[in-house]
Amino acid sequence: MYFKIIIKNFLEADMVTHIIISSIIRLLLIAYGVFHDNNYEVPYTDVDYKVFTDAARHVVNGNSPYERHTFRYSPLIAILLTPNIFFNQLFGKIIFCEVDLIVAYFIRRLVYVNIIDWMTKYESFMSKRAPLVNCIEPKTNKKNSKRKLPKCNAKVVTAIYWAHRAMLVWLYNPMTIAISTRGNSDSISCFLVILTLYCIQTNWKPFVVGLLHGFAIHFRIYPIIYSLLYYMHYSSFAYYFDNGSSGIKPSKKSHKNKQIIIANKSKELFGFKFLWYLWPNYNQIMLVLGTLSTLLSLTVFFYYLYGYKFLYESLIYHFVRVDFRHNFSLYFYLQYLVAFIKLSVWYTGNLWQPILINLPPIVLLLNFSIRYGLNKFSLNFAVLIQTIVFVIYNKVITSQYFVWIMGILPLCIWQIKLSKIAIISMVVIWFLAQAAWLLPAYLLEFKGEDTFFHIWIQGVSLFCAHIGILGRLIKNFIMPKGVLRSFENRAPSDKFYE
Amino acid sequence: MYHLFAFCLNIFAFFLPLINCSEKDCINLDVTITQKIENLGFHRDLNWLVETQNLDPKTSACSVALKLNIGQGMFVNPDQVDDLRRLKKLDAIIDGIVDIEAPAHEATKHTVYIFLNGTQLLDKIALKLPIHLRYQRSLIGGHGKVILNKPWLLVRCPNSIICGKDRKVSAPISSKEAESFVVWKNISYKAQFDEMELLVPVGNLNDYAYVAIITCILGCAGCVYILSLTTAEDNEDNKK
Repeated sequence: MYFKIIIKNFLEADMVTHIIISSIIRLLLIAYGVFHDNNYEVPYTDVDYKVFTDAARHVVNGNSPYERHTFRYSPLIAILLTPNIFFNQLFGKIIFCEVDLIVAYFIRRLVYVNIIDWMTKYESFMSKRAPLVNCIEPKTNKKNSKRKLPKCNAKVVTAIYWAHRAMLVWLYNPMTIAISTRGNSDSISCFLVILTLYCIQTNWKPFVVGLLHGFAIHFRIYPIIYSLLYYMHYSSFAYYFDNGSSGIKPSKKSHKNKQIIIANKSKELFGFKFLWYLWPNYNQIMLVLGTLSTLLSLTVFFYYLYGYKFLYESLIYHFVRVDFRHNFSLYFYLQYLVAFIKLSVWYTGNLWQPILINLPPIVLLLNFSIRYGLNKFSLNFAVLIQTIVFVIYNKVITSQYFVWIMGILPLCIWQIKLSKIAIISMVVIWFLAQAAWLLPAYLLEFKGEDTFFHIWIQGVSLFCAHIGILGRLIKNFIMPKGVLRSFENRAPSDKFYE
Repeated sequence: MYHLFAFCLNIFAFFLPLINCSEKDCINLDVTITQKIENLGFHRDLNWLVETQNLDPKTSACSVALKLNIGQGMFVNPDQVDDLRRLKKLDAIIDGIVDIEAPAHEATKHTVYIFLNGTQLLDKIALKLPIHLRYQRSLIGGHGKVILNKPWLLVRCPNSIICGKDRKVSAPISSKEAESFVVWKNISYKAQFDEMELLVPVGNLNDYAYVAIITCILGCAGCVYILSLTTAEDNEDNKK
């Protein structure tokens, strides 16, 4: 009983308290990492952190960071971590943790903005209820303590409720904490993606969004899968509400924007009209130009500095990579079996296999880009789904890739309707599937037992678990069904803040 | 004739003490090395115990090193060696390029030199060198095999000579001057172990048929399932 109250009070503490608590947790873990590395054989610090530090040392000495083998990142990360050399080894980890906290802030802001925006548009769309009193967004979130809120302001209360929870999901996620304190740079790429999303949804100029997106791609290549999605988001065909379910058409005049508020017919997606969707408008051209300008200029600049090695290690390698060492991927064993061996068997041969491996994720990514990209409110969800598809279909999966998902997930928690039991069971299944994979992997790597087949079986079951979870998420996503029919059930009662 | 004989005798008399001297002064090294491999799997530790019986005090001026030729099937991680050197646990360097990601048949050979001077005299030295096995091509059943070479014992004494007719090899002076090679003497020792053959698990090509079919079908099935969900969503909307 008391425990419940303590938990409740803890969760309701304001943003600054949570940021302080989580930064203390992170600092403690960094300190523990130092202790652990000095005393145990298997280090706490990630291998990549050493790679970053060595690359930074090369930069300090005026050399190319690519002289450090297996450094396959943007040179910017080596430059960012130069204080590791002349200041302290832990500098980079602290930077990554700081970025974590900034990401938390942006998640909170973005969810808040999304919900307010959604509710405002929803109201005018339904035009059933009288519009709420103009709720002015409070200037700072700090002052949003529960008692000061006007009771009428259901919008702000709901928005803060979800924004706060989204932030907590990021801040106290053990995976994000572990990744940053172990010295992995993925929180920075998460930050860039979230910042891009934030800029899109707070109506920054498409060119600026493009600049950011290009930068994100330069930093880590994977955000390139969102390109078509962003492009579609700026399409003239993009809409806010699907006409399918409610049948109430809002008057277009009530909106200043000339954007189409409702979709005429989303069924035409795969018809000939589909091609028209790709015809660029002004915003889309600016987006593409922005993306290309940062991406190309950074690439050319670093090519000029570090030569072909930069191009190969940071770009080409990621496309031609065939990693046959054991990992979570469904395709690992298949790739390992045929690596360096020429087989011509009818059932896959060397022609069909690459097609069968690469086609499913491409089809899914294209499908989501267009289906969810055209709906303005499902942008975050589309990014989440695309990231999941990209990761689970990747030919190499390590646990650090899951952080890409963890960064986007909090943005969507208010849009996915799941019971507590469903959430818990999904999390349990996911962890169990990973743990089940770890056992044969351990036996192979450290005991020398031939467990490749078992690892493959566990990879298959992990893939099935992923697909199952992905399916649940899509089924329970409430946006594309036009409106959040059941939103009222999820909005916090006023009691929550009393 | 007599003079010539006397001259030769003189020369012999002159050199005799020298020959005697070098036989007396040469250092006799009686070294035994024991090898033990710890751990299984892809990451193993080589443990060596280098023992010298009846150690000559003159050897204090000598440098001693172990040279290990690493074949294609395994590698010594340069980063790890750097760390060990920094922590003063092992004074070793690697000669050659090490690609830690390459599979066995694409990898290049390299050589590790471990300098034992840091630990002073040869009396009794315990060493530990971590090695890693590489992935190998899949086979139709069975394990991959990797041969672990025996280490060479190199000794270099600036002012004295070591007994025995051992081969001379060129190797770096020390870990600090890895570039400058000098001549060392490859001393034969008593090895308390045989050349080892390590087993590496490899993929079994007998699995290929069903692994290929199930993997590809599963990937596509997942894709179809997800697509069906998203279109089902639309249909549901249309009904309402």
